[in-house]
Amino acid sequence: MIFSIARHELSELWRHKTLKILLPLLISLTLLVAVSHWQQQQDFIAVQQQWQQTNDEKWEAQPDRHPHRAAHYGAMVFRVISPLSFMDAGVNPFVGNVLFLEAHRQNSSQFKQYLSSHSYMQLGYLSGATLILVVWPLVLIALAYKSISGERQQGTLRQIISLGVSFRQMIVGKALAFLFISLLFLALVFSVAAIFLVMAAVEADVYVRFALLFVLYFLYCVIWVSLILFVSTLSRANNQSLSTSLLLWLVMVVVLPKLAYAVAEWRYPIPDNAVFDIQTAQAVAKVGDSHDPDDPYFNDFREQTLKKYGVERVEDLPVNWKGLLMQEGERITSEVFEEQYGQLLNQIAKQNAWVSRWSLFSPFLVTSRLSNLLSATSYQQIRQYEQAAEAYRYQLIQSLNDLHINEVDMAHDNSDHRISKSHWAELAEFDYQPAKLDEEWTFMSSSAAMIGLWLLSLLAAIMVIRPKVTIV
Amino acid sequence: MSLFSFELKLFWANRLNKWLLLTYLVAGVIAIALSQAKIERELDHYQFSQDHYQDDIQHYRDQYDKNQLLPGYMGYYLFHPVSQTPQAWSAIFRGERDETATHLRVRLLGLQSQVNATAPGNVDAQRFGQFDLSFLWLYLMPLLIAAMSINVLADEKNTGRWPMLVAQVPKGARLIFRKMTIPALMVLIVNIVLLVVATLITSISLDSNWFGVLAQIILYQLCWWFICGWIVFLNKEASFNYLSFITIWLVFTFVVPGLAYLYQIQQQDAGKDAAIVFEQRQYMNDSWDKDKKADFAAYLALFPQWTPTAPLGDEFDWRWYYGQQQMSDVIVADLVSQRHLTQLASYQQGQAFSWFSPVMSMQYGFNRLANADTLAKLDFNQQIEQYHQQIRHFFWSIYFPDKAFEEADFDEIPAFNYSSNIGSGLWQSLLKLLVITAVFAALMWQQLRRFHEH
Repeated sequence: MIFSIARHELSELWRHKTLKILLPLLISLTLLVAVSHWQQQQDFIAVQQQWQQTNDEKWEAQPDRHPHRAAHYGAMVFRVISPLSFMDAGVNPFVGNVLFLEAHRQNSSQFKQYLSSHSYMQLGYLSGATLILVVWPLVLIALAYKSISGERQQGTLRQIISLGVSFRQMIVGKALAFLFISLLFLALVFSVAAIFLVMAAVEADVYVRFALLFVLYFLYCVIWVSLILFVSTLSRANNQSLSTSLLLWLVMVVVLPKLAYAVAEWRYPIPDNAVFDIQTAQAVAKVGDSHDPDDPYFNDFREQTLKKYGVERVEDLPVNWKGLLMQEGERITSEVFEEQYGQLLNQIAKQNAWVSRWSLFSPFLVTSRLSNLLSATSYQQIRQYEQAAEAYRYQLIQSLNDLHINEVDMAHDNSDHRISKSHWAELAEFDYQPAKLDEEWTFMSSSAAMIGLWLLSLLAAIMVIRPKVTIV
Repeated sequence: MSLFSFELKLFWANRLNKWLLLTYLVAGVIAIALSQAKIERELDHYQFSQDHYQDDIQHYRDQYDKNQLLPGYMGYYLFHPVSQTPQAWSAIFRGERDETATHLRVRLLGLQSQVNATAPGNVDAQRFGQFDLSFLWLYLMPLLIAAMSINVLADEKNTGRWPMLVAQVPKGARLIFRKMTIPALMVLIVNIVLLVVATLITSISLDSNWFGVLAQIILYQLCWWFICGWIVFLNKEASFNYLSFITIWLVFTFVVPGLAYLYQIQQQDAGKDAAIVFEQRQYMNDSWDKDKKADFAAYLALFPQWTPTAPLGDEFDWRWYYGQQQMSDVIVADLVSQRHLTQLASYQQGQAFSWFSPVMSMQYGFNRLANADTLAKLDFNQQIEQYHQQIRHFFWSIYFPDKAFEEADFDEIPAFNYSSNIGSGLWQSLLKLLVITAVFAALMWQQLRRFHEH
């Protein structure tokens, strides 16, 4: 019976122009966007990899140098974006992709992927995910708003129920029809996307993420279909069903995310780049200044070092005192930076936690977050990359400071003193391996639970609700 | 009671209309308050770095008093704050302000490695865009107009009142116009209230731009009113009207801007800009391994104004160091210029697309008015470059002739004063809007004639 209802609904939908126009239009638009982003993404990945290779070659090609010069030469890391960015760009368009790692300083990433402003797309960055998460619910509304209210308005609801069809069977049957169309839409888009992935020979982990994205988007469609049918059941007329569904879409997809973040930013303010730099410099200065001969912290450090080596003067140390100072200075600046940056990240975490509470009222918010995570384009994943880059910077600079301590004689320690270039190749290159899916479940579990909650609530509501059979 | 008063009473009797208007008003006030709070925080940040800058200068004054001042070191460690001070209108039109850093600190080293950091902040928030008054006006206002007027005819027909009503008036279309005019006037009143509230809360002043904004809002509202009218006179059922309107809204708010963006990014070579920082860093570091005297001679050949200077010795010399830093900017000047041109071209491409969307056209107009667009960003960058040249000139005038740094010189250190002289672009924005409005007015007029014929 359920399948007969679904078949009937599908044939009804096919008879009307709405589906015939909207479905091909949206499939074409989504594919156009996906193809365009795929081509751009592949070009960008190739360019970034090429830059990274050039950087690594240049690093090893350095001539004999003082190790502190090599520490200032530093390293550059070029972020390679996720292969699934073309489906869901996440935060990629808003973050820099080039990071210069050097001694004493933790630089910010520079250069976004594109130079164009994205502030003219206030409904979301144009990507496959946005079309599926923002626009497809509108198509579902257009298709499904009158599925129950229309039956009531035409007086056919009473007839159907009098034929022995339970309301539960009817609503599930109709839901199946709309889900079938959603499945068709997703399957077409994902099939083309899958061809791209196969051509690029991505890792197995990417395929799993890709498959889960498909499941996620389908569940999102289930939420919307349930919501629209729920509204349609409660509505007295088609007009009311449509306007209520559109209002829900507007609030949950457009207004709430913006408003929630605007309030979160107001509640938990963060400093800008310049202020953050000043605050970090002030915090470093509080610990000590290695250039100040009377600085208490570094005087203490000198005393401890002399004691450790059992000598009276730094000139008598078996190692280079200047190198030790560099190493300690780097340790302090890194520690203070981590603390300051931690405070900033804590504010951002509070902002995001505040917004997460609003996910209770917006399936879009929570699905969008999970979609970013699955596509490896979320803020958390960018943060992991930056953490790895900072860890690499610290390790590289401290290795160079080790060379300074042990390979450079303090008596001849100036910038013209050089150590053999053979050392450069011994220092490891930045080899970042993004986390695999099974390592990221902790990030995703709360969002997945929230989607489960939405699904269960709506399904329970649909199972419980009984429509008024007659027109009021 | 005139028919107009009667329609007004009918409109006001509908609780949904009251709620919609009230929600719109409250959301508008919240948007203004939140944006203003953001601007005040930005100004606090600028003040903080200015205070810190003055503390730094005082620190060097103290060193001078103790005869310990080393001007070369001061040039290296002194960070000069630069900020793109917000214009009054950016309190309600955030524009592109959150996309790039509007507050930086620069020092005497190579400039290009200091100015290209992406803006800080919560990037997750950027995914969803801003909640400011321009969002409310450009995106939500059309929906509000539609919610209250798109079905004035369909509802009357649905309830069976239309044949009776049309029998009592000479022309049914006039009745429809009256029904559509009342919500439009109500929305306009709320918009004016919001503009007044913004004027009171923020530092917006009642000048020609204020009336320019009002004119744009009225025209924009008129544009969507014509779109509603066109759909109404298509004389279809309510659901068709809703769906048609939402489709048009989606095309103007999402599809056209999205396609414009796709086109813009297709014109760019992603990843190319990395060359700026890469080449600059390579040059700066390679300089240490070259013959410094030859390098310095090459620098002086390019900047002969510093020629009367003592020859380099064997020891480290700040003149050589800063000269190489400046040369590293010269090395990447062409790349920076290309980047500038690409950004400008992208802005112009977006402007061209905005002829096809009233939403985009208004947004470009508002962002320009608020000096919060790409043009402002490029202008800010150029002002930073000019300022950096000034501080270089100031310190070079001491380093190269080997002058002593005097106490009075502290007062002469150039300060960054941001000002923008780019036009408001008001007329261009109004013209675009006028053309789009005229198109929909013509469509409505044509449909109205068909409606009369039936």
